[in-house]
Amino acid sequence: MTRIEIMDKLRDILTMAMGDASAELLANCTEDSGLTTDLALNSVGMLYVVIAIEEFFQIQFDDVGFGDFNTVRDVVDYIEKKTK
Amino acid sequence: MKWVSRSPVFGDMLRVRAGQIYHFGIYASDDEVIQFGLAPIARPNVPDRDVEVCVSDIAAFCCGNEFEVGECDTDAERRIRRTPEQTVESARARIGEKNYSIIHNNCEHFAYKCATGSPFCSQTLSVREMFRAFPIVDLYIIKEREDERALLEYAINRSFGKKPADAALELVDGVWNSSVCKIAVARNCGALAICVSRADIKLELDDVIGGEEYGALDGVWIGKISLDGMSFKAKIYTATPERVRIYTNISI
Repeated sequence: MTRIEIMDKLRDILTMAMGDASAELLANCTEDSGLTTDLALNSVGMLYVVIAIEEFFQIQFDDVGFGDFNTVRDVVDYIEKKTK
Repeated sequence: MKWVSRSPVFGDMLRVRAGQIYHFGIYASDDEVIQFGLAPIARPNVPDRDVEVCVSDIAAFCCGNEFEVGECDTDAERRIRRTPEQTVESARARIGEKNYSIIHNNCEHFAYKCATGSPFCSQTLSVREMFRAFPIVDLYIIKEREDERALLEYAINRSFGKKPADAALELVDGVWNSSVCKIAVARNCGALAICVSRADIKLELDDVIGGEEYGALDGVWIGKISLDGMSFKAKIYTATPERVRIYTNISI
């Protein structure tokens, strides 16, 4: 899976996790976007995102903590590593 | 498990609303509530790797909110519920333990493990079930070719990130099966179409006839797809027609 495809899927997941707030916040989302600063994800939102990523990509976040992910790039890097 | 408002006794499971989630612990006394980290709102900047099983008084556990006590609701729950002594002993034995994970090893997992012998988290389970109820439905269309396997392997890799060796792909009595997903194949009008999803799906490919309605209807998605100057009507029967995505820019 390419990084572009991972990013494409991640947008879907963020849309589901962020609900009505997603359209405006995701419009300018890049890999440099901060999960809590730019996308305004709180702890429950992060929980949704991580579980959705596990379900969509069939991977497990078993060796990292939430605090290890600050940007979208951090998440994409992790998914890319796990799906290689 | 049902959650009630009453005074706790030695060995009880407690939960308290902490923002948008519940925080769980094991009650030994008003001065000794054993929990896996304090409630997240009480430790906002503590990284997961530093969270450990700890003891606090009940006020610190509650963070100003009302707690509830867990009571077994079914015979099955009563059968596995440990004694108060076993529950508290199990909790005390883990004080100082780390390896916290909000998904796989959180305070609710800890409390249930101490009280029943098995970790369990209703909160992550309900979120997980919510996402499983909305499976993706990905449709891949290319100009007709004999080799379905190549497109299938491409589709499973792109949709689920699984390599061919991990997909357990096999053709049995003309039907494709995989350990990763459900598969539907259709050929018509000079095109080969493959649909993959974790839920049941059925796929039809037809000529475009004027005056038809397209879109996500109840239990079916109907779309008009253009490919290399040709047009097709694809019909996908799925519980989640709003989740259908189309891929025509395929290189295999």
